[in-house]
Amino acid sequence: MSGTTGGRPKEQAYESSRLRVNSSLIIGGALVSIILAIALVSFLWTPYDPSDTGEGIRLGAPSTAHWTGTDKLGRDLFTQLMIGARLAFVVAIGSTAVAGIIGITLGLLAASAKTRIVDESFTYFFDVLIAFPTILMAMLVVTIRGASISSAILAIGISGSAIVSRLCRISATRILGTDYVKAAIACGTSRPAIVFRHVLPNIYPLLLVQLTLVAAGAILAEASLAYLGLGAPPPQASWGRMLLEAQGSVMRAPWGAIVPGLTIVTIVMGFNFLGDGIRELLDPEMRKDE
Amino acid sequence: MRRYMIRRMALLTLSALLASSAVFFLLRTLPGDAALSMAGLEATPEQIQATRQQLGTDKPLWIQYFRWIGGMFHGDFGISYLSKLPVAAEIGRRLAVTLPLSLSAFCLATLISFPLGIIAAVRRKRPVGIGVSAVSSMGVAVPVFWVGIILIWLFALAVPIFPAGGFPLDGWADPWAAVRSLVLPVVTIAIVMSSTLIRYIRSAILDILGQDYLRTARSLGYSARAARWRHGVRNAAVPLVAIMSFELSTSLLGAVVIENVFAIPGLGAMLLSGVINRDLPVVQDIVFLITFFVLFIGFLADIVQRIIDPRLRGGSIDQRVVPDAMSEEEPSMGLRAESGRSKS
Repeated sequence: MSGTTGGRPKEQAYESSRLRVNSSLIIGGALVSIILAIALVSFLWTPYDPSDTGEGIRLGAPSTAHWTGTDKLGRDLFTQLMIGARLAFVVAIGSTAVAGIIGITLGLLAASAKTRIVDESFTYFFDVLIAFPTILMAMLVVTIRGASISSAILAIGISGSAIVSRLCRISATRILGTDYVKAAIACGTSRPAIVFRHVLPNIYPLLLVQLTLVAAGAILAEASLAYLGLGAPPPQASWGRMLLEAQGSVMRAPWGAIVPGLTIVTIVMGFNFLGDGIRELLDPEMRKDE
Repeated sequence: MRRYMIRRMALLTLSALLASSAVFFLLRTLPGDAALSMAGLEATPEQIQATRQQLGTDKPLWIQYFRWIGGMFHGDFGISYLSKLPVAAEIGRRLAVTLPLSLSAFCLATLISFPLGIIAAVRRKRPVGIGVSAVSSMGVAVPVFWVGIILIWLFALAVPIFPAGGFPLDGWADPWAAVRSLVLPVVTIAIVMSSTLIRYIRSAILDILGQDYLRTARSLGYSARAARWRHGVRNAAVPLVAIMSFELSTSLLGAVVIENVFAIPGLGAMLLSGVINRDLPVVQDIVFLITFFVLFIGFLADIVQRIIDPRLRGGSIDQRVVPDAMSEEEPSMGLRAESGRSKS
């Protein structure tokens, strides 16, 4: 429905709710901040050197010396977890940026295309891209470029861009059809100015929510790729490969599989909550309108 | 309706062509000559040329592309660079494992999700509804392969009921052994799929429950239950078709990841080894087949939706009714963001 051209009462509701921080936002923010803090601290300090096999306690249980135990070579798992967090954030931020830049650019171009054929072929292209699953995209990219962090970012980002661009096109088209945009065009405002002054400020809450979800998906995707051996190659520690290595010794050292798994669940849930929270915070009406 | 079907089929063909050419030409950007490595180190230039001719790589790219497409129509999927055997036969053997795996996962997930999704919607303010929603929202954040590892630990090692992985070498010759080795993978995929599915179903049902026509039916004397059956089910069916079609694709993609957790020799394992060995024909065939499957399921869903709801028939060609929660989702399993965050 219309929605974005709110009259007086709606604006007031918007103003008052903007200050109300909701619980999803707090939970999501807290979960993401904890893991982000761990990732940042790992640049300054880790309990051990990541390749340090220590006293050689293999598959050691969690203890005061090794908080989450050791792996089959005796390396400290918490150190790997911390460095893995770094990688998770690099991939999440990188692929979200790729998805955002490609998705928003193409979405805006499609929405402001002058001819219907351009718009429709863009739309159509996104639809095929959306049908193209992330994992297959990743496999294609890895076949061509080899397994690396940049391949993972590229594949996950391109996959994510399809959904971003579709959302961007749909919501931008709606804004472009409103009376105030028509008025702005009548006043002689240039196209870029309309996009930056009217369209983007109105659609960015939706895009922000979607990009948060892309970040959550990117972390899951990176873990899957690393688990399949298609992610960042060793010695780069990653949660997915920690799980792969732990699988063989899950009977003797279950903590090796449990801890990285729970970490992934925590951060992904964190991003999901954050998305929900942002959605509620920025525009309470959006839920009803969509 | 017939006009719609023709247009929709044209769209499917176009999508398939677009996807296949993207896959084909992207993979050709890889440097290197397959004939060189296949013919071996001591091959004479003539032998290398002969291998090229056999592979068809001596022809221009666009001819190779049309040969590949044309070949697929009569079951010629090319020859694997690695095994030097026809890819089609191998895909057939692998599908005999992957299809049962993903279809049973799909059925199990559906059986779990429908009752739970409906409970979560109808009892949304009671503890049971809130509980179901909370557990399913946690489920969408779980990596599918991790569930597999945990299930292996619990039900193959700690309590050895099922094998930890692998598949009988003689395939389905011993059906009982084959089924036993597929139980854990199927349950793994179904658990992860259900959490998404429950959220979609809940949101689709919630949309329906708030509709005016249910209230009207009540005012006409229908009981709440009768109103839901008479008017609710058919209206809910339209978005549910979209959900089910999406989940059918998801179950196949889930199988691709999960086969590698349980060392099951299916299509996913074949694709992964193709990627690692840069076996182009294998990668391009499987990637295209899975993409085509996804596109085809979407095509069927569009047709079925229009059979159920004639109002859609006049609409735009690729208009599909999806519940709110789905419109911003990314269809991919294992690699999925947050599928099924419902908005209610």
